[in-house]
Formats: sequence, C-alpha cells, structure tokens
Amino acid sequence: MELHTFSFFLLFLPAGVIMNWALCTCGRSIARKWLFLIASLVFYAVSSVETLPLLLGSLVMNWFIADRIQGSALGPLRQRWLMLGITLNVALLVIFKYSHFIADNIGGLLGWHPSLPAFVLPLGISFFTIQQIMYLVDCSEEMIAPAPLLEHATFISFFPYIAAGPITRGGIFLPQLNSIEHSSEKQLATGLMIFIIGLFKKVVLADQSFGRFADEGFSAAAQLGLAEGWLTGVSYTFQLYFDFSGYSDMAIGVGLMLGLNLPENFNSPFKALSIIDFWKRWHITLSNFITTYLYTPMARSVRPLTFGKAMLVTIVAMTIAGIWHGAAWTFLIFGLLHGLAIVINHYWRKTKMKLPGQLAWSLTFFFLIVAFVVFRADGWTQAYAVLSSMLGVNGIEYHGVFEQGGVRYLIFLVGAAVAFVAPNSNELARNFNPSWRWCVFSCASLLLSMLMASTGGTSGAIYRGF
Amino acid sequence: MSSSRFISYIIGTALLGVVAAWSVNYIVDPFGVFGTKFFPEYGFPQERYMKIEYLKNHPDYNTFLIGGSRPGVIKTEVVDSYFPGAKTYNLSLLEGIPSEFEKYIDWLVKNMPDLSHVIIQLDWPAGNRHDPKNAQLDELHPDISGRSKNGFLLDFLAKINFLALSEAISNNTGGLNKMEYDFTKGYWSRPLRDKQIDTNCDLYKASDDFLFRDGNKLRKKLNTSLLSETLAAIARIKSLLDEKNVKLTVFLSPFNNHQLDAIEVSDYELFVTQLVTITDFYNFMYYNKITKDDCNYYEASHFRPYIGDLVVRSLAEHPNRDSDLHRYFSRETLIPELEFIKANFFSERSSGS
Repeated sequence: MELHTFSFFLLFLPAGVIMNWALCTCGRSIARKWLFLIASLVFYAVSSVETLPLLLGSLVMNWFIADRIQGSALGPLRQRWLMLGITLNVALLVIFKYSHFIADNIGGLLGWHPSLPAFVLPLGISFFTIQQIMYLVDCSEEMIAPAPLLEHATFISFFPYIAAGPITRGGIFLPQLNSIEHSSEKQLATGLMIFIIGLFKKVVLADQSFGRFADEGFSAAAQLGLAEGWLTGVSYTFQLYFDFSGYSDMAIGVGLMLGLNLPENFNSPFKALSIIDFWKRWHITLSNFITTYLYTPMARSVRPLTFGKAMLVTIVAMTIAGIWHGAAWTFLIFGLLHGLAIVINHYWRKTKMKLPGQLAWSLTFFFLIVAFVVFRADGWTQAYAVLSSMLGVNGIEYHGVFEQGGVRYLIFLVGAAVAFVAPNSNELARNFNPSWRWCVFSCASLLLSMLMASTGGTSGAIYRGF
Repeated sequence: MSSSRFISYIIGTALLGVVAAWSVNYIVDPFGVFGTKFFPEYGFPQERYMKIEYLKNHPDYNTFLIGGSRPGVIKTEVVDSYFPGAKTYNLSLLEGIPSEFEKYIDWLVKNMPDLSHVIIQLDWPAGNRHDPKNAQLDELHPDISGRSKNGFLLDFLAKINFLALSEAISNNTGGLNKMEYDFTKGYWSRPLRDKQIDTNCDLYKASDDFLFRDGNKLRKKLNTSLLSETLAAIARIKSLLDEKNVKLTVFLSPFNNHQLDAIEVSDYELFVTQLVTITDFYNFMYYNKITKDDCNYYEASHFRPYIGDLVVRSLAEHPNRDSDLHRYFSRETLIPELEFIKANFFSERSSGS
C-alpha cells in the first residue's frame, strides 16, 4: 500500500481520519497515539511484513539508547551512548543497504567473492535511520526530551512519511502528537486539497506522463539523437520532481487531515537560480539533515576552518548524501557532482560577479538535468550513452525513439508550467480558502488521477526504493 | 464556500468516480469475468479465468490443447475425430507462454482425473513474454496464481480498460474483429473476418499495412534468456506428464512467411536442436504453400480455422510420414531436418520472397 493507491485513499485514509476525529472529540489522547501506531504498523506490514521485525527492533533499540542518553550526565558517558546509537543505526543501514555493494566492489578489487545472504531492503530504512539519528542527537543536546516508547514508535513509524519522508524531527512531531486538538474543517479541506495536488503530480504527471517518456528514452539510450537525449533527461528530471514532491504533498496533506503539520519538503526547486539555491528548495528535510547533522559536525571537527576546508567538507557531505540514495556508483557520482557544483557556486559568489537571472537559471537547470541522468541510469554505460546523445554524439537528427504528437507537447507544456511558473503546494496551502473554483479544480484533478491510475496503473514512489 | 461543503463535494466526487467505474465494468463486463451478460459480446474474454471456471465444473475432458492465441481457432471436434477416444478442450491462452502452460498443466494433472493427452503449441521463443498493456488479460486464474478470488474480481471491477471497453462496444455493434467464443470447447472464430477475406483477399490484405508487416525489417537476434526459460518450462512439463503417464505432443506453429522472415536461421537451429533433446515435436514452422499464402491468415500472427484442421490432421498422421505441411523432429532426424530448414530458409530468402 502506498499513499497514491486506491486502497489507501479510499479506505485506509477515510477510516483513519474518522477514527482520529472521533478520538480527538472524546479527548482520548493515548487512544489516538495507539491509533496512529497501529495504523502505521498495518500500513508498513501490508507493504513489507517481512521487515517489520527490523523496524520494531530498531524502534526499541533507539528508544532504549535515548533513555540511556537522558539518564547520563552531560559528558563522556552520554557521548558514548550517542556514538553507540549512531554506530548501530549506521551499521543497520550498511548491512541491509550497502553490504552487497561493498562486498562486490572490494571483492572485485581483491578477486574475492564472499557469499552474503540476500537481504530484503526494509521499507523506509534510509528515512527512519536518519530520523532516529537526528532524534538521538537532539536528545543528547537536550533539544528534546526522550519520548515514551509509544510516542517514539509512533513518531518513527508514522505512515504518511515512513516510506519516503518528509524526514521529520522529533521536536516538530512529538509536541503535536501530545496535543489533542483535532484538525479544523479548514485544515481538513486544506489537507484534502494538498493531497489531491500530490496525487495528480504523482499519478498523472510522474507515472503516466514523464515516467513513460523517461523509460522510453533510457531503454533506447544508445539510439537517442540530440533532441531525444535532452528530452529523456528533462523527462526524468520532471518525473523525479513530480513523483517525489507529489508523494511529499500527499504525506503533508494526510498529516493535516490528522491534525499534524509535517515539514515542507519542496519549494519550487526548478525556479532556483543557483545550485546552492536549489538545495534550499529540493528535498529540504534532507538538506537540513546534511547541513545540521553532517556538514556542521564535520566542519566543527576541522580546526581552523578555512574556506578551502569548508569546501572540502561540503564535497564530502554531498557525496555521503548522494550514496544515501542507494548502493550504486551513479548515486555517489551524483552527490559528488552536486558537491563540486556547490563549491564552484561558492567560489563564484566570492568573485561578487552576477550572472543575468535567465542565464543563471539556465545553467542551473542544465546542470540538474545532467546530474539527474547519472542519478537515473542503471549504470555508467547507460549514463554515458544518454549524456553522449545530449552532446550530439549520435547525430542531431531525430531517431524516432519518441512518438511525436500534440498530447506529448501539451504534457511538456503543463509540466513546465507547474515546475517553473505555478505557485507550489505550500504557497497554495498558505493562501487556501475553499471556493467553487478550488472545488472544481480539486474534483477534476481527483477524477483524472483516479481515471489514470485505474487505466494505466501506478508505479511505486521512486524514493520509496532508497 | 464553506470547508465542510468543499470536503463533501470532494468525497462525493471520489465516490461517484468509484461507483461509475464499478458500474461500467460490471455492466459491460469487457473481460467476461462477472458473467453478467447485459450485452451478448465481451471485449477481450479473460481466457485464463473463464476456461478454468468452466473446467472446474466439467472435469471429464481427457485431451487438452494448450498454447498461445494461435491454436485458439482449432476446433476440438476435429481433434476428437482424429484421435480416437479423445474428449478435447482447447485451453489456448492469449499471449500464453510456456511457464504459464506449466502452471495450467499442473492444475490439469490435479483436477482432471481422465487426463491422458496434452498437445502443446509452441511459438518462436522471442514472443514468450507478456505485454504490460495486457496485464489484465494475462492475469492467471486465482486457483492457479494463489491470490484470492475476491481480490482478482475487485481488480477487474476497479480498473478501467478503455481498449477492452471499446472492443466490447465494437463487438456488440458488429465490428469486423468480433471473435465468437465457445467456452464449452475453448476455441474461437472470426466469422465476419473470414467472410471478408473469402470475398476479396487482396482487398483485405491491402486494407491495413500492419496486417502483414515486412518481417525482414523486424529481424533481430533471439534473446537467449527467453530461449532458456522456454526450454526449461518445456522440460518441466515433459517430466511432470511422463511421471503421470500422460502423452505429450508438441508442435511449432505454422508461422506466416512474414514472421518467418523475422527469424535468424542460426537462432532457429539453436532452438530446435535444444528442444529435440527434451521432446520430439512436429514442425510447421517453415516456408511452404500454406505459410506463404497470406490468405490463410487473419494477420501475420494468426492462421485461420481450416489451417487448424490441417494441423490436427498432421498431428494425427504417423510422425514419420512428412506431409507438405509439417516435418517431424526427433533426435534421429535432427541432422537431416536441420539441413532441410537451412535449405528451405536460404532458398526462400535468396529467391527474394
């Protein structure tokens, strides 16, 4: 089950919203937490029952360590508990996500091929690991008090974000969990509207439109002409954005319907005029994690911190962020490319020179397309093939990989309008007042999404696989 | 507008969408899985489901013809007339592939007490994969896939398939593609198409370039993993049927010349050389007067019913007596048959057909 599936939004979600409303109205705070926890565990089990014990084990382990951290005075003992917690979380991630990658690469170098068990990638492991590391650090720095097991488990496994974020900090979520205010009608309406926008982005734009174009292009990577290469890159760039931001919108919308404000994850990233600006707008909750929990501690450990050393730390932090997405060299290269681009961006800023806005935007967007081609490719060969075609290596003529037609042009136009011009869902939510115009728009978007999900099917959220 | 009104309109729209989709699917029943019969014709009958549903209540068949859609036109009465004592059911499956045949044969072994003979039609292994666009048609019967029947039916209720719906409308309004199914026997026919071809075959062939596309342009190397999967499934079927003392007859379809044009001879040799190590088989897949005449086909993929009659007659003949339609492959005849194939293909291709 995922947020964009019929079983979720026609059965699971309405049942959850109604029960939450009833419990809030009766002032049953504990029952409400149990409702969220049970719903989250059912949601998780339906998708990945075999890895549910791992999630439960991880929850209990982190709850215990957080409790030990609180029980220790500030100083080395607390630091040791924190380090133990971080190490165990990272170890879990490495074992389940990276062990085969590491073994294959080291084995390839040494000519030794160990046989590892075939691990199933636990649903949301990248997200709940990060969330628990942030939680332990926040507890250690006394920014939050460790929560009881029920609250901790609910916070980590909360179904709207367990699979693909937004990555949420305990300081934001836990106080809201303890509030028994049910969502107002306005909040419900806003949540519903944001959910429908997310559903439309995910199903209509990502799955049924740009996802198909990107698949066509990448499956014919060696035969792409110049324009087809760029269309492939743009298609995937849009697919990833609409898929991920759509899923985040749905999660935020579900949160609102349940009376919880989740952090915003996207802020029109393709309107960015530089790579630094882009990372303030794209996957904002991951960017915050990288800045606060990766870059800052690494930078603090380098004394004295010069500009050059700060840039080196930036590259390392972005490379780690790249490989966080998955166990493949393409992800590592993606992170490295972004790290280098940010460094170039910082050096450019030091020169105090300014590029014209349109040129800055174009350079940024072209770089993003290139980096996302590497991100999407199933290996270096495919990435190289698409990137070569974008340089015209296969010729500039049209090779017939894509069907041409008015509908396709229209889809690109709609995609570009939504990504480059239209207000984003956070802006819409802030200014939302129910009106007939909104009602017609929401109903039409919902019907179209349902129709397309019904006729063409849907794909899993891309970030769910990370 | 108040928030509560906004919410109620959205909920109403969602419910309306669901009710509309369910109603259309249930009333039109484009796949025939609900058996509502508000309209006499289906769009694309879900053979994998409907045939097993029928057989569950009729376990007295002893001979089964199984394959992709091509042998779907073979009349079981013809099989019964050529094979004494046979009571035959045509279990052909649209886009059927050997790994599915294996699952269906396993079901037959367990549920058909009189099972004595299975006739399998094989396609060129390059075609042994499902088109994702036909996912609903390719869904196995719940008894075979192991999923719940309610879940299976719910999928057909909820998913809208415009192609199947438009086909249902076309079939109910006299469309030329209308397939008439007899699920008590398992085969289908296209009487309107047959009439059209018989009236003026040349006009029919010229009506659509897609019907008989140039196979030379489609020629490409055979995917070796598809070949391995095909052969492995046949080997498992052979082993299962041998264990149950059930006779197995295998034949390769009389491919239309345009499809033969798309085959690499070296791949063909590899396929038959490996297949014959598993089982003897009848080979209809070469250039001859039947396969070279497009009027014997609806399009390059599907032969017409009277060719099916000829195929059955060939299968019933003594295997060593070659007709002008088939060749019999065994380990003993492999070498001369390979020579025959090479000569047949090279002479046809060099003559520019």
